[in-house]
Amino acid sequence: MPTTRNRLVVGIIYFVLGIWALFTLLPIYWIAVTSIKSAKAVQGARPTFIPWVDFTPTFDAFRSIFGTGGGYGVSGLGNLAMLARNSFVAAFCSALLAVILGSMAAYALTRFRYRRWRNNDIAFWIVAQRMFPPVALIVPFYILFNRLNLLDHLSTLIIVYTAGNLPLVVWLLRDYFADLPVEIEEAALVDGASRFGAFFRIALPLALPGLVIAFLFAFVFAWNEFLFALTLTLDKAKTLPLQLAGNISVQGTRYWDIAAQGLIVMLPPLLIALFLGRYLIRGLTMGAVK
Amino acid sequence: MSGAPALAPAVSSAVPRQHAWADQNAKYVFLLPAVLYLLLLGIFPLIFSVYLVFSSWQSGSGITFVGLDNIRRLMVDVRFQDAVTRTLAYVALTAGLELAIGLLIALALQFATIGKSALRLALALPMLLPPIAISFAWKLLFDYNKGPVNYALDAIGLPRVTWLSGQTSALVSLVVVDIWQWTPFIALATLAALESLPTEIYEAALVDGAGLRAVLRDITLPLLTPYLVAIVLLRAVDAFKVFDTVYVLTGGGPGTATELLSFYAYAAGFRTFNMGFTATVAWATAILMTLVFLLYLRAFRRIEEA
Repeated sequence: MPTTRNRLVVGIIYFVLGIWALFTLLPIYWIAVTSIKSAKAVQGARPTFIPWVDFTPTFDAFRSIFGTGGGYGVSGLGNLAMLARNSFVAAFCSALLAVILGSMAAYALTRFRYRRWRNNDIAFWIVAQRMFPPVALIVPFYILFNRLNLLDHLSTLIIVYTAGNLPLVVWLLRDYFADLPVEIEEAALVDGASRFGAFFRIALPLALPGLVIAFLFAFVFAWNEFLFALTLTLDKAKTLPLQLAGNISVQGTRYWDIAAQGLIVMLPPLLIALFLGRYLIRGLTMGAVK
Repeated sequence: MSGAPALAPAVSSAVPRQHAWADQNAKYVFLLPAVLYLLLLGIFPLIFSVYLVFSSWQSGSGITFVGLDNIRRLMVDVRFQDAVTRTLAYVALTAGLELAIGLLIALALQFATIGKSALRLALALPMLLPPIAISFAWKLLFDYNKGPVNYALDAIGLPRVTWLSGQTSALVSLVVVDIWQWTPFIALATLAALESLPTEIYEAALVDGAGLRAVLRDITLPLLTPYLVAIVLLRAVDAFKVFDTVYVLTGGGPGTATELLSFYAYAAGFRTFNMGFTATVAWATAILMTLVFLLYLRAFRRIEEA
């Protein structure tokens, strides 16, 4: 029934969605396009919008980051290799730890019954950890890790990020384990397998897609994290977002350089987002509907 | 090989015995590592920070007990009071606008047929990208002299806006970035809720000849309300904690015009190394947040009862 009225509704729907899609992509486009501008294209009388149309693209900003043709002291991403390694190690190790601890807890919450504290209460307590403002934790963490002589150590970031991601991982994997059929595990237990055998040989392999999704989410959130990196690291354990924030205030108007740096920091989450596809939505809206 | 059949039963009965202890306690062996980890890194630091509220901390001298000094200072701190008002306004504005726009997008997405999954993915991107990098992108867009936003205003004959350095406009800019980043959360969560509603009711209503607007108003929205209450609550909890965008876009300025509570807690303590005071501001924030949400939930319970 393609009536004019229906056509109008469809028109409005795509108008709303189109406007929002453009709005969403605007900053991402702008940082990408700025990264290939020359100083002249950025500082000209009017802003430039499209490469080859109103300015000539150049890869100078990327050259300065990767070391050739740079040469303005502290600029660029400075020690890119070290920063990237720090960010990667902190995100990778904390995500892995969170998935190990989280998958065990999520499995427990879906396979055993806890009488005294009740499963739902335990799950809620775990998720509620995310509600508290992180700024309340920066001072105790600073003092405790200072006392342990662990400030500016990567292990500190790994420890803190694991705690930050554990609730999300438990929440995602609890759904996942709950959807797995328990019959196979029960059969294995009857055949004499231990609980750990059932977990490692049956439940974990079946839950592998869920584990990957949870890992990638944890990885991205740790990769993006700023407040704890700002307060608990200084130099050796500095991460990419921290350096980027520093450059934004120090390098002032060398916009093209910082845009290129920002793009590099954005790249891993962007790729993971594309890879996650439809699972992305489920993870991001977790807990809101269920 | 003659010994093998005799050995087999012995092995199979020995294996369970080895694991007997761990198996009987599997319930706890699986759950406790995560719980202990969160106690150690979540609850213990919080208790420690309660103690810090009554202390001052210096790198050299360590923790000194100062009684109610921090709290007394907080009570007369105008900057803190301003940050409270500002944060409440920020949370109300972002949550309210994001709810309105998010609901619209969710409804549009529900009826969309072509390109639905690509649209969803594009919408979700802002939530996953590094806040520091996207804040910088917005800093470029909002740039007074060279930014495209002011260029567009010029083009249509409107005056330029000092997006990041005006008393009010800087806060508005932060709200815009929050809306950009988090409206998709409300839209996508609402869409998930919409898709979980039973379709029979719609079909029945449409068969009975109800118009689209009537269906939305009398069926969809009432069914959706409990979900929306929860979704907005989750969003508001996060809006209370905003830090990264403030740090990059305005640094709390101009002056203290965009000092939201998390940023003020950080700036008040970490920049002057008065850790006890940061802990005090942080706890005040947490208590305020809890109070606001209790009131919010109570208001909705009352509406639902009425």
